Amino acid sequence: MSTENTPQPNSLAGVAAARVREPGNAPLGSGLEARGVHAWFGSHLALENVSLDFAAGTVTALIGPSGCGKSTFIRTLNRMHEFIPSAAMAGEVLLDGKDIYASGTDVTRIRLQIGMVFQKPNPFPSMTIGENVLAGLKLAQIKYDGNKDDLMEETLTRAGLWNEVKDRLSAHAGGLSGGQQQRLCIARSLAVNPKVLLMDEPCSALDPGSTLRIEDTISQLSKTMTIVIVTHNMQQAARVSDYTAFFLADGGPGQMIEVGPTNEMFSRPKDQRTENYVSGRFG
Amino acid sequence: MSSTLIERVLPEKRALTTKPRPSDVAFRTVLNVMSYSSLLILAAIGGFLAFRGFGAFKENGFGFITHAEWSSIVGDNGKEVSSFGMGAMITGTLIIATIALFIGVPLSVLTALFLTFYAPERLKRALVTVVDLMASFPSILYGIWGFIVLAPMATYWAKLVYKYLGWIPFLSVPSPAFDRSPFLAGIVLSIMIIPIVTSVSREIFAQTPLERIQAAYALGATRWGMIRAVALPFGASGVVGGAMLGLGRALGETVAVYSVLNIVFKINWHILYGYGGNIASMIVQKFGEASFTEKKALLAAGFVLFVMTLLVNMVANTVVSRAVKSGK
Repeated sequence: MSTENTPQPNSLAGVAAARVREPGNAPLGSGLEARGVHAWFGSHLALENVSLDFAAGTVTALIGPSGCGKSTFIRTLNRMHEFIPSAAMAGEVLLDGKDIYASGTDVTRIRLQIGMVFQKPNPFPSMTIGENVLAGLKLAQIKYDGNKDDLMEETLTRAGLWNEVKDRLSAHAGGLSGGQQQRLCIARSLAVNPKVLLMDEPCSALDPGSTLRIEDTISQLSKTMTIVIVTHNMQQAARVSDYTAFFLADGGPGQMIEVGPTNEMFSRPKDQRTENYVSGRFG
Repeated sequence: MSSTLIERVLPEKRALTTKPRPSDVAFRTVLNVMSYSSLLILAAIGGFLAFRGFGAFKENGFGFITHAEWSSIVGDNGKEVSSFGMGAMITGTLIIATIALFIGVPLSVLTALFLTFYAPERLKRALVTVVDLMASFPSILYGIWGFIVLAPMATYWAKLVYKYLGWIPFLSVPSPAFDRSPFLAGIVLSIMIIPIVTSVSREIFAQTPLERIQAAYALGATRWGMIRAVALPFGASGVVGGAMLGLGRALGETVAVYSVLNIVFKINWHILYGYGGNIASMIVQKFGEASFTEKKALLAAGFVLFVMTLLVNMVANTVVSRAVKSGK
């Protein structure tokens, strides 16, 4: 097919190809490796044997139809999975080579290094915009030596929200639009300086305009950290990610079918099921 | 101005009615009668107290609320000379209730936080049952226990408090008499309000939105950090409402306080000192041997208590229901 050689600008493969990064960008952040991750809810095996590398400074998109285990998987990466009663897991998740599930690990330290942004914007309604940004320091009982105003400006700028809120930092966060709230949540995650940022469908509750702003933010952030993003939107995966992993639960537990550079995943996937999914034949 | 606009003619809104079947009408009538009956009973009690006590209000005027003296003497001529004032009882009731809240609310809130965020499922179920059981425990048993077991200990604690904090005015005592003090009554009451305050707080904390809890944990929050930043702000108004429901109970509690408090008609601000006042207990103490005029005064006292508890409970219910609504 001709798309292999000359990607169409409007096709997913074309979008993904246009995004391929110039070599020479020094990767930053930390690498994350999942090794044989299984996840259960009670006796129900929801995710089977996922091994996936997230190289430092890359953006990896997790795609797949609903119920394929991609959200479950991303929640095992910062130990949020265990909040669901009866949830269990097997396997290892290595941050800088160290298993985050190793006994004697302080789970709060793990979550400081691996931040998370949720599907629904969830700023703390009792706090102001400024307090929300700095909430992580208070919550994790960290003493911050630097200037907190500078930190606030820096993180809000990185999240692409500074210009919109700089005059009302002491207003309550509930007055922001959904997209602004989500960027505030991103800023809040950045304030504790994580090495990895997990995003679980961060744009699914937002309008297209806000979605583009968030994607912009992701592109900016990917210069300084490792990002894993779950998305239902394949266009989004093509626009923002370096690598794409396709998940599928074919009646049984969720599995990772295939992973590869995003442009290849959308132009010439190796697995027929991936091909069917990215070409819109199901899901 | 409006003459330039074209008037829109809208049809009359239609009444949306249905013809109910007889069975429905009957059931509805029964329900109506039942649900209004409790209101009616409450109104009847209030009306009875106000009506029968009216004489005492009239004779003693505003002094019935403010004066501390309570006396009724039959003179040589066979005429009864009386003066009734509730001042000591009202202040005593409020003082004891305050002590009860001061001790009981922190205990209850911490218990509720433990049950909601820390306790393993099994322990939680067991503890909730025990705490709820505390509510149904007869109050005379609290009173007897308070009198026999708690009183000697509380006297010792009172002495300790006095020794180290006696320089604070209300913690001082005119003479070393620590028995049967408002402090002791407050401790007994604090135990009795724990169930209601705990269960209301627990219900509020359990409604803390999961997404906010997760947001906190995802930021590396410690459990204490999460509680401080998310659960407490969310549950604050509910806790206040629960505390006020506890206050409602503390104001009206009778037998337990009667068993441990030395009731004297003199205003006492020294909470460690061995006498105090309490409206409900005072009524129990006096009613059996009261003369006709004194009975009127006691019914009037009952009316005062009735209004106080009603007000506190109404405010508490409003606060609680508002807290529950604003949480969603």
